[in-house]
Amino acid sequence: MSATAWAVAGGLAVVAGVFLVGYPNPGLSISAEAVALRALPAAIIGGLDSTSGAVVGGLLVGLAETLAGGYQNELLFLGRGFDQVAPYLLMLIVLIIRPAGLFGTREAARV
Amino acid sequence: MSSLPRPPARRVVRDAALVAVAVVALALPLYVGGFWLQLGSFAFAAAVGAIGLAILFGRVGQLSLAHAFFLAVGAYGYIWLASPSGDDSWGLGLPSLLALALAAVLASLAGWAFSPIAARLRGLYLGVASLALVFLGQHILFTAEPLTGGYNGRPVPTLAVGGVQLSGSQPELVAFNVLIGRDERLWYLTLAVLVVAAVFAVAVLRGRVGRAFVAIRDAEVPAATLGVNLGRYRAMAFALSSGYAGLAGALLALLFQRVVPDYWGLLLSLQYLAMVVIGGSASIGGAILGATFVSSLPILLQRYGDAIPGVSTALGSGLGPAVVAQFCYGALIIAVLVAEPRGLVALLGRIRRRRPGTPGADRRAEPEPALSMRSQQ
Repeated sequence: MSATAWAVAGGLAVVAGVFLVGYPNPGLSISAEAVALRALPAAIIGGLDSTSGAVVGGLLVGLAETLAGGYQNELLFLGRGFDQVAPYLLMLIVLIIRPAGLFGTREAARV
Repeated sequence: MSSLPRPPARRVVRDAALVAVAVVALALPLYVGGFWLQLGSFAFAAAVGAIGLAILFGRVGQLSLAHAFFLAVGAYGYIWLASPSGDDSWGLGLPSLLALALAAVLASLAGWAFSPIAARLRGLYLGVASLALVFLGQHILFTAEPLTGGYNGRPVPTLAVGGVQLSGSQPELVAFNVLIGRDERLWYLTLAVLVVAAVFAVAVLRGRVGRAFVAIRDAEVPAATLGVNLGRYRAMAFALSSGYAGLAGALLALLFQRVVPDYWGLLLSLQYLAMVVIGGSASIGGAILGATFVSSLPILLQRYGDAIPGVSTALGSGLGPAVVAQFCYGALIIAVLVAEPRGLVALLGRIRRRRPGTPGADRRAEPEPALSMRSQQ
């Protein structure tokens, strides 16, 4: 089961990588590895144990990043390059309100 | 975590070894050169930070990737508190020793402020949530220029007590015909801070608080049933760990003399995690051992790397000392996790126990690993 999960995860990561070739800049650079780190907030925002949550989380992360980038001039008081950290800020806010993510289930304690 | 009374013979040997180590550590600056003293100072400073992470990760079982952030809070906090205020830079101009202590307090408060998240989350959730602090922190370091100096960083004010510089070379001091310069003073300073930090950590872990930490790690629900306030103790551990990180960060700043934002990134957090895992995640001695190893390896490779085939110390080459060092401790982490999840310290203990003539040694309560292959399932 664990091997299957790894295989599916790897396959989906490849799909994400293929999309990255076209956007935001054509081609890939070494710094594209930072994108992988932004998949973590996406999964956490949605809730780690919820796959549909991951989709919502991914959309929210993408929106936060693109909006922060697009309105960069209006958000200058937050500093240049704020779009890179907007997903993390969003994740912290979500975690304060819902510690298990938006669609995650609270872990039951086993005694 | 109380250990059984040691047999007297063993205690004598242990005390003698401690005295020998103390004498060597105090006398070493009189005999060895600046390179080795700097190596030692960096290892001592890193060890202070690693002790903090060992408490949080090894004893309470909370995974934190935010250590680099709190190191940065300590480093920049010291600069802000100790620097005089300038035209385009903020500073309070406090006495530097007070600033050093307050830098640790500041980092601890920052850790406390994170407790709405740190006290409620655990496992991977906390790991990733703390990751956010590293990225947000670096963003602040790059953009809050009056406070941090922005991309170019800020110079670090010298630590001085009563006109005697502890991180500089003024006024000139001579002991046993040896000039006690900057390297020697920093060696003594970092060593003294490490000793105090380690003794304090041991005292905390042996007491009521330390037992509560371990109880939370090993059995959360029973611990809560016995009256351990989970949230409060988790927040306390996080603040304590952050305070240690802040102190280490301020020491590192003193060693660097100028700090730049690039240094306090995710890689630094991972290095501290490597120190704690390699040394033995639940033990103070292990944290010091791991910190010495991880912080010394790149510096040693930089100096002696040319003697190893395939490693190049030339600037900009592919397989530089830093990269090779990363490979080394990456491989070592895997080896430790597979062979001995309790780290190098447990490995040393195992060797000692195999030796005849040390009865009762194996009866000692061993710290449980916070990270083992089995608990990952």
